[in-house]
Amino acid sequence: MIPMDTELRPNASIDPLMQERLARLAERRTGGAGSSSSSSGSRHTTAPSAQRPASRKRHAAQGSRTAAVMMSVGVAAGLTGYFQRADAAAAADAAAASSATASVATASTAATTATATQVLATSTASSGSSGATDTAVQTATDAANTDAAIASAATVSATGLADGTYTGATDTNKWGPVQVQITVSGGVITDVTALQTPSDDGKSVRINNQAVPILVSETLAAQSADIDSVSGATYTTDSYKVSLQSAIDLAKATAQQAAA
Amino acid sequence: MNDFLGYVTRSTGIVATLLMLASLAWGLLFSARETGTRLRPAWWLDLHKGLGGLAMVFTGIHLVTAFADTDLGISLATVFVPGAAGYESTAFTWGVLAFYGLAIVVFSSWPKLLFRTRRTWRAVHLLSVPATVLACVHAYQLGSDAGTPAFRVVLVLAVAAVMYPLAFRVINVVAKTRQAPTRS
Repeated sequence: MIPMDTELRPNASIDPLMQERLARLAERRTGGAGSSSSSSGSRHTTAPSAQRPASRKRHAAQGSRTAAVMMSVGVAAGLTGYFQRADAAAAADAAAASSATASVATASTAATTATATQVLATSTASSGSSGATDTAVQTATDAANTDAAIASAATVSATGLADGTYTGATDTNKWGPVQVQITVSGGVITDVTALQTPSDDGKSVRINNQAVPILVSETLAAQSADIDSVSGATYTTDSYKVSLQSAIDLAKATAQQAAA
Repeated sequence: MNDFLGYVTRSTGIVATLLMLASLAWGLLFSARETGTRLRPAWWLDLHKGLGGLAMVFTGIHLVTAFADTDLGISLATVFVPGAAGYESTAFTWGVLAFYGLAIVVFSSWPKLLFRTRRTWRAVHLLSVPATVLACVHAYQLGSDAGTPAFRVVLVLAVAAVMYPLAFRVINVVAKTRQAPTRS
C-alpha cells in the first residue's frame, strides 16, 4: 500500500516509468492536461495543503471505503444476529428434547428398580417358577434395555454402590446431549465414560475434549456427582452432573435392593 | 454475555477473512495494472488500503472477543504466541501467524511507509499472500461454522475470486522478469 501523497514527493529510487505514471496521475487529480504546472518537474514537490483545491478528496475512494465499512459492519451484525437466533432455536429444541428424555429416564429408573426387585425375588425364591415372576423379569429387562440403565452384577459394598456398569440418563443442554456411563468395582467408581457429548460444531468438540477428561478425573476423585464445574464448559458440566447422578442413583438402587 | 461474544467472534472472523481476500485481490489487480480505464488507479489503491485497514480492525475485534469469551478459554498467550494453545494448537498457530502477517503488511504501509526502498517494502508486502492463506486455513480448521455448506461455498468462491488476480500478477511478474535483460 502506497500513501496517497507518494507521487508528490521527490524520490530518486522511483524508476522513470513510475515517475511518468505518477505525473499523469497527479495531472489528472489537479484537473486536467491544461494545468499550467503540468509540464514542469515541480509536480513532484509537495504542495502546501493551502494550495490544494478545496474540492479535493482526502481519499480517492472515499465513497467506496464508506460502503465497504458499512457492508462489513452490516454483514458482521447480520451474522451475529443469525447465529444468535439459530442458537436460540436450537436451545428451544434441546429443552424440549431434554424434558422428553427426563421423562424416559424417570420411567427407566423405575423399571430398573423393578428389575432389581424381581431378580432378587427370583433368586430368593430359588425355584421361582411362577409365571408372574417370569413376566415381571421379562418386562423389567425389556424396559432396562430401552434406555440407559443396565446394571450388571450385584455385589454390594459399604460405599452403597453395587458393582456393575451403569449408564446415566441423557441430559440435553442447548449445545447437545450428554450421557455418562460409570463402572463400579468393589463399591468404587473405577471408570467413567462420556457416551455422548455435544458434537454439532467445532467449538463444542474443542471445549468437550478439554472438559470431559477433567470431569472424569474429578468424578474418580470425589466418587460422587459433587464435583467442581470446569471453567468454560458450564453447560457440559451441568449435564454431565445430571447424567452422572442418575447413574450413581442406579448403582445405589441396585445395592439397596440387593441389601433388602 | 459469553454467548454474544462467541457470536461476535465468529462473525468478525468470517468478515475479516473475506476482507483480507478482497484486499489481496484489489492489491494484486492494482499491482498488475489490471484495473481497466473506467476507474482511476488511485481509486483501486485507496480501496485496497481501506480494505486492508478494515481487515485489521475486524481481526482486532475478533481477537478481543475471542479472548473475552471465557467459554473458549483462550489466554493471551494463545492469542499472541504461536503454538501456545492447549488444544487445536496447529489451527490456532495459523491464525496467530496470519494476524502477525496482516499487522506487518498494514503497519509497514500506514501511516507511512516504513521502508526506504520500494523493493524492501514490496518484499514485506508479499507477506499478505501467505497471511491470507493462513487466515483461510485457520478459519476452515477452527471455525465453528466451517462445517456448514454455506461457509464452505462462500470460502471457496472468495478464494476462487482471488485466483484470477493472483494468476495474472504472477504471469505479469514472470513476463517482466523475462523482459528485464532486454530493457537494460
